[in-house]
Amino acid sequence: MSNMSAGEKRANILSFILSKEFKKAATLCAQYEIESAREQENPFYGVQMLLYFVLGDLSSSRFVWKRIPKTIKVKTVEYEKIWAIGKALWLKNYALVYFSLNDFNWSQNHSSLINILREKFRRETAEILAKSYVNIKKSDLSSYLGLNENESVQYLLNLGWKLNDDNVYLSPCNNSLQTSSARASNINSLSNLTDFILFLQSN
Amino acid sequence: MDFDLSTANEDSCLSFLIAAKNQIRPSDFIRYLARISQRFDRFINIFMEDICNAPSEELRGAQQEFLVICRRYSNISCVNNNPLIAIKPIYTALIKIRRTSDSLTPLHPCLLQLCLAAKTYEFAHQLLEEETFNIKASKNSLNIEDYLKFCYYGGLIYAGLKNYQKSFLFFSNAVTAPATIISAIVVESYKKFVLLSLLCSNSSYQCPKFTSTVVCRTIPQIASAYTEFANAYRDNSAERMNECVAKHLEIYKKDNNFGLIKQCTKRLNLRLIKKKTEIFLTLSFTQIAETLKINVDQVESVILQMIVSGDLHATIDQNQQIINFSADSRDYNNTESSRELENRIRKAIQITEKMQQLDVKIRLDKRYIGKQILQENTDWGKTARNN
Repeated sequence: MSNMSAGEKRANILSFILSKEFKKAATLCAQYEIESAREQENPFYGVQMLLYFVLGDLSSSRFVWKRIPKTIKVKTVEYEKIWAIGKALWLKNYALVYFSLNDFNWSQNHSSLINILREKFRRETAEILAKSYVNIKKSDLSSYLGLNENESVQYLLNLGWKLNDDNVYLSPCNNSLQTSSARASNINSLSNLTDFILFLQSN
Repeated sequence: MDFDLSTANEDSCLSFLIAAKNQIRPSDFIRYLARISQRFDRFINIFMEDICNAPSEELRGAQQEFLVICRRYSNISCVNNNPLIAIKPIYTALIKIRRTSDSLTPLHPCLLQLCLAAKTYEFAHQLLEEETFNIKASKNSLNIEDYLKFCYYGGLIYAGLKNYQKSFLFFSNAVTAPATIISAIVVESYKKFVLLSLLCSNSSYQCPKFTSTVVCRTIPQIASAYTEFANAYRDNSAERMNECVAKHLEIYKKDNNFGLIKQCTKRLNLRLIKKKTEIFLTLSFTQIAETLKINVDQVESVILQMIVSGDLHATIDQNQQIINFSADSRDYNNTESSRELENRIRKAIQITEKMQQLDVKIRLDKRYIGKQILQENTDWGKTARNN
């Protein structure tokens, strides 16, 4: 743990966010929180919670919320609004997530993360719908995707979904589920195999 | 330095310590602080940061006293409600005191206790991921209480992070530690052991064969409220489970296990559906609503949650209002799977190598060789008499 100033830490964290290395940014936030306990500076609770949302790590974000001292919670309304997003994510209340994401005039620190989170959540929910549904009503889509009915239909059609003839239901197309299944056939793999065989031979 | 502890008052102790800090070696300073803090423990707060910056040979020179100070410091921090401040110095101390990167020290449970109180679960998780193979009691000044506390707190942290498999492993380590008398830590660990075995679907809550007899015989009776609940869960009986909860609610709440109990009741729904997948290929919304005893409109969201969490493989057909169950369609035929496989094989090799080292150590141990010779002599004697 190093002894950088608050400004330097903030700059580091922001640069990690810009380059989309969210895990490193989150670890830095956590370290900074422990270090700043003695110096009585305020760690970046809001950014930390948002990073955990983006990484999908809801339990860590819940602990951050529990750790925020009561005085700070009362003073900074923004943290409460961020946690409202967390609660909606936790309860998997899709409509409420989009509502909470748009519910506040976010400060500069947080707005880029909020936008990233909104896009990521929409994409992931579309993938979940593709995996779980054989067909789904058009009218149900807006609560899952946070867009109005026509926009949702367009969004899914762009992802490869098909509109049924009765113009009520949409069906996913299964191509989107194939992830890259290239076999690993590089040097690393060969060296691993030789290590394993050597081990087995020597016993 | 000459100083009479028994007659000194608080101020003179403090001024003595401040003067001594710059004049004597850190290990002697630690010894003085240990004795003085027995009466005035608030001094530890003042000097802790400086002590932890001392070189590690000095800390090991006064190891017992240093551990006493650290334990007192973490207790005070928890009592005074500012555990977060204590985490950094205790962590620095831990890094300095441990002899190899995989030894367990008495500071591990201290740090875990502080992390639990401060709710910094991620930091504790980092610590727990560094596996500890070396638990030599004498070199690390470790005692059984430290080991049991480490297992208990580690289990609590993993349960908080929802890694139920590892949490179960830690609690079972606590339950199966060799024992001749019952410890309160083991009793509490057993209660959580039972509940977590229900959440990790393929574990049994019977004590493993290598548990000490003392533990096996007495603790299940002490924790009977939990074994009753576990039996009801295993029989998939929601009514008996609810009865159990109503009867023992006070006990569960007092032991802080009510959260785990609620998780188990939620998981029962999943078990009921999974049983149906063994028999049916498709089920209608109304049939599922009947099985789970919920409303038809809730069926879709409940099933969606199960699919999302990966516990159930199925698709929802809104048009016909049915659920199609499918087999696990994951094709383990890609780079990720092979990488995971290689990692696991490496881990297995690492553990085998440690076991082999341990085996060699035991074979070369004086006591083992002595026992072997004794055994051979008696066998020799028996065969000689028989001939």
